[in-house]
Amino acid sequence: MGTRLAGLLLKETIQFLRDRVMLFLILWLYTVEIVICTLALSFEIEDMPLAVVDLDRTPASREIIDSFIVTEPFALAGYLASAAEATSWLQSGRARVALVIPKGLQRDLARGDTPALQLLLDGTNSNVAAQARGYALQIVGRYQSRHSIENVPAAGAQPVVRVWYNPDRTYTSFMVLSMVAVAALMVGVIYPAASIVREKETGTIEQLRVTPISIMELFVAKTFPTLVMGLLAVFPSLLIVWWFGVPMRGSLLLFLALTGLFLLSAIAIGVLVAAISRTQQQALLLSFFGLFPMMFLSGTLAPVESMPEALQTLSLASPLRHYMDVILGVFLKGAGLTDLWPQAVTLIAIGVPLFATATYIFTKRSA
Amino acid sequence: MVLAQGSSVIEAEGLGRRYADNWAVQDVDLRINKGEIFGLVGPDGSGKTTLLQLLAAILDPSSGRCRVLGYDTLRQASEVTSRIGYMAQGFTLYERLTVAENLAFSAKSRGVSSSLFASRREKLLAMAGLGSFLDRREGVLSGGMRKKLALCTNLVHEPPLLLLDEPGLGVDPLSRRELWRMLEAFGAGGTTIVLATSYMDEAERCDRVAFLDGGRIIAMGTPDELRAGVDGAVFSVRSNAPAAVEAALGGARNVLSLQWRPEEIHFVVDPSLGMPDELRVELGRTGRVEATVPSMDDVFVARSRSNDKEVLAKPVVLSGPLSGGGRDVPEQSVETRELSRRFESFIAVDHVSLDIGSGEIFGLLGANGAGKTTLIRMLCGLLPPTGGSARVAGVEVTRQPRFLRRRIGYMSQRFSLYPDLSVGENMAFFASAYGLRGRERRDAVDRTADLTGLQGLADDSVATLSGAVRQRLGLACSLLHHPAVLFLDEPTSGVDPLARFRFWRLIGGLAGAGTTVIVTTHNLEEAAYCDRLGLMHEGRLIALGDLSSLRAGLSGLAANTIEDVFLAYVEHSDEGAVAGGEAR
Repeated sequence: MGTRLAGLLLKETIQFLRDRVMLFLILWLYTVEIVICTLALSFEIEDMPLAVVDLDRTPASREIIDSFIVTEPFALAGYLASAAEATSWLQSGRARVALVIPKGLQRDLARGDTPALQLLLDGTNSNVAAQARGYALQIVGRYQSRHSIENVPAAGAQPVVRVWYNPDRTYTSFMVLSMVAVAALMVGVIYPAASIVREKETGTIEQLRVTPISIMELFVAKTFPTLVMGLLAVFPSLLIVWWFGVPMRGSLLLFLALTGLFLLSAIAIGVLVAAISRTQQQALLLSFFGLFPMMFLSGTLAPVESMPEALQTLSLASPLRHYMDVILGVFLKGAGLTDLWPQAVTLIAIGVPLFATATYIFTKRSA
Repeated sequence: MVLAQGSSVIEAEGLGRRYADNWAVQDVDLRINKGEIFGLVGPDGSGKTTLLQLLAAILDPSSGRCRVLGYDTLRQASEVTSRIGYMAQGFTLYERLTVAENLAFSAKSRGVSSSLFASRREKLLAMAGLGSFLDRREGVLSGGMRKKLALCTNLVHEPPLLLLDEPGLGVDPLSRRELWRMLEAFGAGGTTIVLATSYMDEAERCDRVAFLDGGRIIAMGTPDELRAGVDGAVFSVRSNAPAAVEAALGGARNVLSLQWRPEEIHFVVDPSLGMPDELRVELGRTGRVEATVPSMDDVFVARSRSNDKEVLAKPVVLSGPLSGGGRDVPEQSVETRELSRRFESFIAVDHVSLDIGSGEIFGLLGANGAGKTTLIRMLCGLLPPTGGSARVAGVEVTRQPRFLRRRIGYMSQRFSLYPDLSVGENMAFFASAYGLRGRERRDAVDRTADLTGLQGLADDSVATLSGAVRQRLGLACSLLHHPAVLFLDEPTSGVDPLARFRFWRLIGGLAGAGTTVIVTTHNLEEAAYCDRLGLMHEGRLIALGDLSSLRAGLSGLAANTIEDVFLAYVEHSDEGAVAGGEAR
């Protein structure tokens, strides 16, 4: 048993190290891909073109306009004469936000009335629009509080908001970690699938079956190296994570252990893909067929909570969703096993039956 | 057409092609006339494919020039490619399209008008015998039918010149016959055909043949002329003391090849030196030596200059089979009773009962799809039978598959090896797969490498090996554990005659040492190396016995070649008659 398994593992290792394309792909997924996705997919709004229609033209209106323009999210695109003109700018995309200040603003303020400011937002990307709206409300809120302190005693309570775990509230930390999780999933699924199907293509799997190598030995040889490699591949990505300034508040060891649990499910999916594919091409396409819905379902891009009820329930079955909790928890919240044990149990509950099924189908198919 | 009456279809002068510092083809002068069937033969890597690609104008020459159909292949390449038909080695069509769709697509892409296509389609389908399979998907056709269809798609625009790279590779003898009938019909109609082949019976059917070695044409002429060139270099010995003959020939310098046949030993000496007198005297003491009429195989052997003699010079000496499961190997190596395998409604192997003794070389012959591979796969425990029983090397195949695997070796059709591992790594891996370790493994690898002539190649990558060396490596990997029974599925397809002789010599040596060898082949000539033959047709074993008893079984029929014997039995079987050396 020992000799055969050692021979198989040695062979797998040599083949892995000799497969330049696969090595490159894995390194790419864990580094460059993470950088690209993080930079491209971070929905930080910055320098949104702002069109201003000032119908009041008073010091008060100028103060409001300035408080908008000096902030990061907005950049002045131009002063316009009428609301109608602003509409056409929004239409053509020259402006994404239009601020309309009504006539008599200063007068109303002086009287203690509450005048209405009009903010028109291009809602084609609702995420961006929602964020812009949030910023705009903040700016107006700050303006109001400044003036109420000067004039009238503060009415009602002032909310004090503290954002935990991500005080800068940058999207970057989330995106980097989310992409690391996705990379682990992709490598975990694709590598075992490719290496099993490659043996089918060259016909070597049949040659192995006339040797005393047992199906279980072959199965171990096909899955164990992926697990080791998947864990090693985490390290280059840690560099990227550090480069983006994402903190590591929890234990690296716990992270690796839970990553191993997660890889169990990913590898099982890879083996199942290999069981029904005859060519590497089919295996790759089939992998993506499953990978993308899993990615979208698991809160890697959009929060799970914002999905329809049915999909939220479905997402519970995705190991990636629970792994997302793990990776965000360990890195950003410094969570330990006392916090993450439900996720660990869930990963086992999903991974073990999946792995058992993969083992069963692999042995059945090859026997 | 630019071509003037009577001029050559192909005119090459000093044609050459270089890859880095290697000349794949060099100094080729060639004139091929209209309507000729011209064969290119030569060892693996001798430049046949490169030369065909140069003629097809899909590869630019590095030196010299070539005119095809009157057009220069360098400057007017598109004129050439649009007119000719070219079928690459292993060329296949779209497997998800039907026969009709494949043909229609090829006609469209060649700009054949629909009225012309309709009439040609009928003619081609009739010739290829594919008329009743129009709606069948290409992927489910047999190997022979696929090849014929591929040829049809290359003939649909009636090209004046057809270039074919190994058209008969992996095609069973029946289909190969039909393929040749098509080629000869088109040749008679004025189509010029140039083909590369490793089958010498195909070379025999060509009008002229060029021998390539190391990228150069070293001999050219009609088959008769080529045979005359090696007259006096081919001999046979009939002797009761084969070991003495072997010793005499193994020690002689001029001997190029040596074949064991059941009744005689056949050998070729260097034609430029002739038979040395001392050898003639020595052989005369062991038996009767006769000069034989050379076959094209002999021509091939005599003409191949890149003769590495190491494999030949080494006498094959083997210790007895030391199978992992101990030495208690019974007298009968293979015993099947009513063995059957059914795939849904299709019966691949139909009640086959067979006994094969230890140390026997048993040949399974039959067309593609006759059930040979299915039978072998069942005997190796790769496929469970749906009926009957089988014992191999004393083990019930269905009961103890893992025990069985220690006692057998199996080399599949595709020499399944790891292309990304080196020769040494492949061997070490397969040795460990059989549980060999440490010193035991090193010894097994060294000994097997020695036996199969792979010494010094340990660090070579498998991807760069020639077909003949890969085949020997495939054999080596299935021999590491000294199997009692060795299964070889089409071990020599696509391998040139010299490499084939050497391969069979090795097999002979193994069998002499007690290993039972069960081999399937398309190459009916190879049946001569087998002690006994089983002919399979549509899943049934239609005849069983040695060659002479099979011939005797065909009373009243003049069956000279093995092919005739084979076809006669197939005909008998189709008529429902039961025939055979040992009637089944």
